[in-house]
Amino acid sequence: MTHGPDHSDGRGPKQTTTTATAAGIPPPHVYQQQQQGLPHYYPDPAYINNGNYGAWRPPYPPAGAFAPPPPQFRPPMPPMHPGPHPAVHPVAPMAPAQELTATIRNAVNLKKPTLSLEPVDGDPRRLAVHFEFDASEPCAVTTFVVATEDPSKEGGCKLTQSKQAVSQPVIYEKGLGQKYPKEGSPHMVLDVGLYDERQLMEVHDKDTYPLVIRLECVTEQGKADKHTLQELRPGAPQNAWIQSQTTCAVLVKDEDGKWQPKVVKQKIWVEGVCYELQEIYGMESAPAVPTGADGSFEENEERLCVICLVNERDTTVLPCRHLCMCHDCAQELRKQTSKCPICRNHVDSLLHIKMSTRAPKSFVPVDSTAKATAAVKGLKL
Amino acid sequence: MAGPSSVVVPRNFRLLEELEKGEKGIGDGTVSYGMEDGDDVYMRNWTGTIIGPSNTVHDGRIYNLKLICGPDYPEKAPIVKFYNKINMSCVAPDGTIDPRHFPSLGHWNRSYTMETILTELRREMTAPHNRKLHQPPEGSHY
Amino acid sequence: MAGQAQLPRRIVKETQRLLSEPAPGISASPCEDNLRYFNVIILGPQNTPYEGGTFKLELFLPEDYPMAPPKVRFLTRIYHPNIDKLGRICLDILKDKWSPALQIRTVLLSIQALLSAPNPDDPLAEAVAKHWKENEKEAVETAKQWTLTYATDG
Repeated sequence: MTHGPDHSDGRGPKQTTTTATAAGIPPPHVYQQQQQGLPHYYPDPAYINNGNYGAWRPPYPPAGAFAPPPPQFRPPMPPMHPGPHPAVHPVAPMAPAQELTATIRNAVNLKKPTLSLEPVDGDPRRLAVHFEFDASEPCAVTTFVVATEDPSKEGGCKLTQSKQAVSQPVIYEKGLGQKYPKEGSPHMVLDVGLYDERQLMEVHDKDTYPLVIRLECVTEQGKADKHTLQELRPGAPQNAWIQSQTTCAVLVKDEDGKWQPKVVKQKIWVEGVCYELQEIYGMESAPAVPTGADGSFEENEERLCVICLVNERDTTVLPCRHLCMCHDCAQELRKQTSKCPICRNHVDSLLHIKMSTRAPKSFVPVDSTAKATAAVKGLKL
Repeated sequence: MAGPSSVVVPRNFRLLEELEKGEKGIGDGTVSYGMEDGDDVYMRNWTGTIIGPSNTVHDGRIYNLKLICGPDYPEKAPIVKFYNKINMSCVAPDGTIDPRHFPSLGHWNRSYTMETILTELRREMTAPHNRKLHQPPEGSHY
Repeated sequence: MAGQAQLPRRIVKETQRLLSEPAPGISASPCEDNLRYFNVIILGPQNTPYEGGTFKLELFLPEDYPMAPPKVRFLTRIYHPNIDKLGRICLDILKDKWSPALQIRTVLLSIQALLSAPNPDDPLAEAVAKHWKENEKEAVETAKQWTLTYATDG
């Protein structure tokens, strides 16, 4: 597995486990688009916030028919919730079980739990955007409020902010746990009074988000071609020499009437292709450590394939994103059924994640979208 | 079937499989079987039926049989006995099938089923040495 | 015995765990001559008509387990709307709701739960289910009687 910057953020050893579901694993009706090798955003809201994630159907008949079973009847299923502290490592989606996963090293990552809104000078209508992020390259941070993303294929994820003045990108050196706002630099303050509350609480027309944060850095190739962060204009269409992460959030009002952000989507832009970051459920980031005196590995069932109980899990079911099987069992499963072993939802495709215990040496470019899509298509059940 | 697989289906589950198959009905319905006593959790006693094959002396007759699956079934063949009187080379005077004259029982293996026995018995009725044999009056029992 | 050498690791592990950490009120041990065939005992759960009963079951892991569910059956007679005279069990996870993520332990816990929560609306034993729906009190009484008669020593 390709890991992002390793660090400790006080919440645990690692951060959110994510995988990039490309533009590439869409329902059949968008394959055509994909095969043209054009970026495409995931259109299906089920992929974004499907309440079924991690839901385990207990092995009993429906609740209506049966009394709730006593607590000890909980099946000993491995936990399938997104762990509180997994690792950052966007994985290109296109590794259908037959092929290796192309991995993307995530040079920049906003730490979702740190995103907050703080009233400026105690004014609850003026909210400063705060967050922390990791960057293994110098990067530019731009924050937008109520901004619309260009959904067109050619748009390069261009962002347009309608009401408030656009904030210029803030340049940071590389470093872990960096804070926004940066001292002495301009930063975005959301003026709540300018908007209808619903505008702040919902995604509008699929492409307008109340809060958008974009972290951008220059790719190796971009550096070789003498591109710099100073060229960046806020929200401008992204070029292939940029690698970026874009975090989109809505606002929710807590019990005290205080606005808080809630991340609804994270995307990365790499080599001119946009991927949506998806959490994988069931990924335990803790490495297998030799524990026995003889160096034997203590078996942690949570890491093992739920089918053979022998191999490590390395295959995720899509779209439900349950990382629960090894490659071999996943292949076997597909011959027998089209249901996820964990949630019984339909299996569209399988994502084989190549696990690596070592940090990545270099950026591994992603296959062309067309090829990847074809491979994914070949996996359709 | 006793293929390369080393998985041995235990007696009771094997009999449950046979029961389910028998309940669904077999082929053209010329042989059938079911449990004699639906309450017997050990599924020992079974009833089989063979419809006499056409172009033989058995044409139009319906034969009922008893099959007893012992605790060693299917390692060991069941005991099979006709209720209806029949004149056939492999049937002893009391109606019991003589394994020495009926290979499906004499050379039994665990891949054989009650269906095998009934189907083979019906085939045996069509054998040249059986098809013309004089038969006891229809409806007589052992 | 044939087959033991090729017993999948998963089955070995499940067996070890069943033996070393048995679930409360449940025991399952493999037959010596067929490690895919288990003798099972489930104790009747408290506050049910099966309380005090010791129920014997048999369980078999077919060749395609865990892709296919285990086969399970009661050997002890039991008066329950979802269990028939031959001890066959009507339980969705043993049929279409099976998932290879489930295990022997989960299956047996689910059967134990089924004893606590009979479901006469999805019956296997029609007459019992009818009895249950029309006169639950009397049906429960019959179930208690059967427990005493068939599932209790002495």
